Parts: sequence; C-alpha cells; structure tokens
Amino acid sequence: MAVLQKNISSILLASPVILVLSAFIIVPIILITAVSFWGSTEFSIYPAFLFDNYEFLLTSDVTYRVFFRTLYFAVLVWAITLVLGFTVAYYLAFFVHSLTWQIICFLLCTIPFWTSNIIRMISWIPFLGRNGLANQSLIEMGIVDEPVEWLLYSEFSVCLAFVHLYTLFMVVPIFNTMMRIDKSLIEAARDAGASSTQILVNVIIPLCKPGIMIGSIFVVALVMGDFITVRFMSGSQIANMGRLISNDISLLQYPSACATAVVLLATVVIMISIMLRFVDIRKEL
Amino acid sequence: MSQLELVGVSKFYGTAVAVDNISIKFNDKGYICLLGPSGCGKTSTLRMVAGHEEVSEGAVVLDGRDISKLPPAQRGTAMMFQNYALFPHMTVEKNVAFSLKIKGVSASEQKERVQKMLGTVGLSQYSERLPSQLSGGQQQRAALARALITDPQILLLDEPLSALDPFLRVKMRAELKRLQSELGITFLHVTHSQDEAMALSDQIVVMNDAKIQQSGSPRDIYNNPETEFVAKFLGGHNVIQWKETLISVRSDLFGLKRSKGNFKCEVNAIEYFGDNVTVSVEDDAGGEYLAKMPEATFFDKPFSIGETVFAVWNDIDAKTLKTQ
Repeated sequence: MAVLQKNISSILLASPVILVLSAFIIVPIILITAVSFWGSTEFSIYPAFLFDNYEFLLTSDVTYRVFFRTLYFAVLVWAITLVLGFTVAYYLAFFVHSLTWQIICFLLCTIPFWTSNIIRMISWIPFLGRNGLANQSLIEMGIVDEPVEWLLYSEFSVCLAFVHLYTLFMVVPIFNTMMRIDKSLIEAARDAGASSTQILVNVIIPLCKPGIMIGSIFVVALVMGDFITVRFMSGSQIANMGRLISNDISLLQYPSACATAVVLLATVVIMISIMLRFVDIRKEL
Repeated sequence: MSQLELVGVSKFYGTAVAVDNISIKFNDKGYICLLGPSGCGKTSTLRMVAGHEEVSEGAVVLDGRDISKLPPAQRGTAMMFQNYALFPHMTVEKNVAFSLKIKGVSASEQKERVQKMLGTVGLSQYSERLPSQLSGGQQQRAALARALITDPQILLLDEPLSALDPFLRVKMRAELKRLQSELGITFLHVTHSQDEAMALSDQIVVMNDAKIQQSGSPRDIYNNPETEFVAKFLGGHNVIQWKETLISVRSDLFGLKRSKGNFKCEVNAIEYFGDNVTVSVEDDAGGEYLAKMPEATFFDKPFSIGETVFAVWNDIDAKTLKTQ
C-alpha cells in the first residue's frame, strides 16, 4: 500500500512536465507524422495511409539538392560560429579579468538579442545592397570600381546573417564551460612548461568539449530548421528544407509539408545523436 | 646544489602589500616550512618562487642565479597545488607524462619514466584511472608524481595536506618527509599548521603581516620564540608581562603552587589529555595562562576549579620577547 502510494505521488509529481512535454512535443510530432501519410489533391486533403508524399519527396532530384544545400549551410555556419564563438568565449573567460568588464562585454553580446531577429536580419539589407553602405565605402576607398554584386542576395549574405544571429548560441555554452575550468589547471600546465598554444590544445579545448557540443547542437538545429533567413537574405533565390515546407504550407499542401518535416526532423535527430556519441554533456546540464 | 635565497622580495597588489621586503636564505636540500596564518603572505611568497606571481621588487636567487624573471618551467622549481590541479580529462599516466610530452620526450621514454615515478609514489596500479576515480590521498600522490617528474631542484608545496582527513594527513606527512630525504632536493612547504611545520621541517620560517617573524630549526623556534606573535602562534607558550618586560614561558615549564609564587591566579578549567593534564588559570587582570603537567604530578595533589594558585617558573625558562 505504501509502495503504491509512493508510486502515485511520484507520478503526480512528474505529471506537470509529462503534460507539458506531451502537449507541446509528443502530440504535435504524432500529428505531423500522421498527416504526412494523408492524401491530397490540388484543392483538398483527406485522411489516408499513403506513401505518395514520401515517394514524391524521396524520388525528386530537387529534394536532394535542397537537402544538401541545407546541410552545406549547417556545416559552414557551424564551422564559422565555432571558431568565432570559441575565440570570443576564450577572450572573455581568460583575458577579461574583472567581473565588471566581463558583464559589460556579455551585455554587449546580448543586447542585440532584445530586438527581433527579423529586424536584425533586415538591417543587413541596406548595408549590403547594391548602393548600400558597404559598396559605397568600397568604391570611395577605391578598392572596387563598381558595386560588388555578391554582397547581398547570395550565399555570402545568408551565411553572414546566420553567423550574426547564431554566434552567441556558441559563445554562451563555451564561456560557461570555460569559466568552470580551475585556473590552477592552467598554472599547472604552465608549470610543466606548456606554451599558451599547448595549453589551449591540451587543456582548454578538451575541457570545453561539452560546451562546444551544446553550442553546436543549438547552431545545427537552428540552421537546419531555418527558412526565414534564407528567404530574406537570398532574395528568395536559395532554397533549403525549411523553405520547401513553407512553400508547401502556403500552397495548403499539408501532407507534403508534413512528410518533409518528418524527414528533416529525422535528419536532425540523427545528426545530434551522432554528436552526442562523442561527448557526454550530461554533466554540464 | 639547490640553494634558494630571497633578496628584498616584495609583492604589491595595487596599494596592498602582500609580501614586504623579505630576505632569507633557505637551507640547502632542506625541508622548509613557511608557517603563518592565512593572509600573511606565505602563499604569495611561494607563488613568486614558482613564477606564477610576478615579483614586484627584489630577486629570487637559486644557486647564485636570479630566476625571478624566468618562466616557471625554466626555474628548476615544480609546484604541487593546493587542490592538486590534476587535469580531469587525462589518466594518471597522462597527467604525470604531461611535462615530458611538452618537452618532446619520446613515447617509450615517457612510459618508462612515468612508470618509475608512479612506482616511487606507490601508484603503479592506478595509472589508467582518471583523477576523479582516485581517493584524496591517491590524487595527492599523482600530483606529487607530476611535479617530481620534471626533476626539480626545489619542490614547492602549497598547503599540500589541508584537503586530507586528519588520519591521512599524518600518514602523508611522514611520506613527504621520506620522499624529501630520498630525493635529496629542497622542499618548500606552505602551511598554517604548527604541528605540520614542527613535524616536517628542519627550517621553519614564521611569517605574519607580510614579514618574516623568525626563522630557524623547529627546536630553536620553540625554545626561543623571539616575538609575541611567534610564541602565541606556535602555541604551548604563555606570554606574560613581567617586571617591565614581555616574556614567554613554555606551558610545560609553567608551574602552579598552592603557596607563594610569582603571581596569584585562579584555576578556571582543567583538561585531561591522557599523557598530561592542562590547567587553565586566570590572573586578576584577566590574563589567561596554561600549565601543562604530567598526569602523575597532577593527580598526586589535584587542583580544583576555583582554587587560588600561584604561578612559578625558573628564570632560565623565561624568554624575553622583542616588543614590536
């Protein structure tokens, strides 16, 4: 009886989180998966159990090109944000000694996040445009004769916006793990004769792995699922998985959108589980 | 040779003075303890010798060579940190091999020297463990091995025993002493524990308020404390204002009589320690003194609390203290 009561109270205690997770994660995923098997015509969708959506998706050449383009962005943005984020975190953690300055620098990093990311993204457009600030300055400085075309509505601008939006997601977890590194470890390494580079490679990077991994999960998940940045910054000239889904939705092709979403979700889940294989992040959580 | 000397060494943090112009010659190949309360500058002194803290003024001289501007690894010193500072992501073997790896020693030689060193500290069977899988004492041995593998002339130990439980502390204390005489190098050990300093060292340097109060062999210092601070910090001494001068009398040489003595006081506590009984007395001015006497002496004619007694000592046991 007592055991039963204990079980009931545990279940009751866990119920809020179970309810929240079911309502916002499990039920939607089940719905999306279910709808992905439905059938559709130009003007209607109907419940069914068909593999048409998947067949169309997985046999189309466009899907693969878009899929690899998405992957390409994810890897590229991941690499750039990793290098940038690690550098910023390293500087903040080891070269800014006073707490006040650390807080000031951190605020400088976070304050831009008080505005909508759409606004931050769009603000690049007048800067990078044909007659934008960047081109005008380049021309006036005599570096180029005519406006540089690839600054806006290109892979470059998409990447730039991604990096701008997501570097902080790399900085914060890496900074967090760096701050937990006992400073005497660095002294011990120096005592053993290690140079700054050797300390970085042998001590700091290995100890930052969990932070790097958490940041990487953020960035990869965000870039893989994005559609608005690619749309705005490429001037609708570049497609990724997110845009396939959003196009389907705007054409009311929900079953097809769901099938794409399921494939995308599966890919991201596989990518993240591979990443988690390498590093145990549990002790950081 | 591993003759270490500090010449007019100071350390300032902004306007705060951590170490104030200290000069001292340490015993060659000795076991030296820097003893003092927290904040007395002993750790700053050690860190300046190690090279982890810049010397604000003065010189750190090792075998006639000023090492105060050299990077830590080129000084011929190695440091064992208070919390051991073992690299948590490396096995014991990798931790110990770290400095050899940095130096570019070949893998086979690394392995050989690490195994030998682990044998010396008694950790051979733990070489594949991570620091988190070791007990406190084993972590300490690992840290010791990592410091000693660099073949230092001087091993610097920052409160090495403070993280251990009392039983292990006594055991590791003996081991440190054994290791020091086996290796024949200088150990410079920072501690705030009098017992530790007395048990281990052949030279104690007592520090307070950024200055050296006294240095000498444990016996020297215990028998002839020069200042009130040293007498009080070492413990076991009564500091007495006696006929215009300040004197110190060891509590085991401080006697109590029922009639006639140097001054009158009242017994206010009696503590039994097995081999001795410590009687605490208070004089009219409120000064407290301890008289430590053999068990048999006490129980021959036991004192009781509240009893009026007289303090006595031999003139030869009264050491005049410098007024600071």
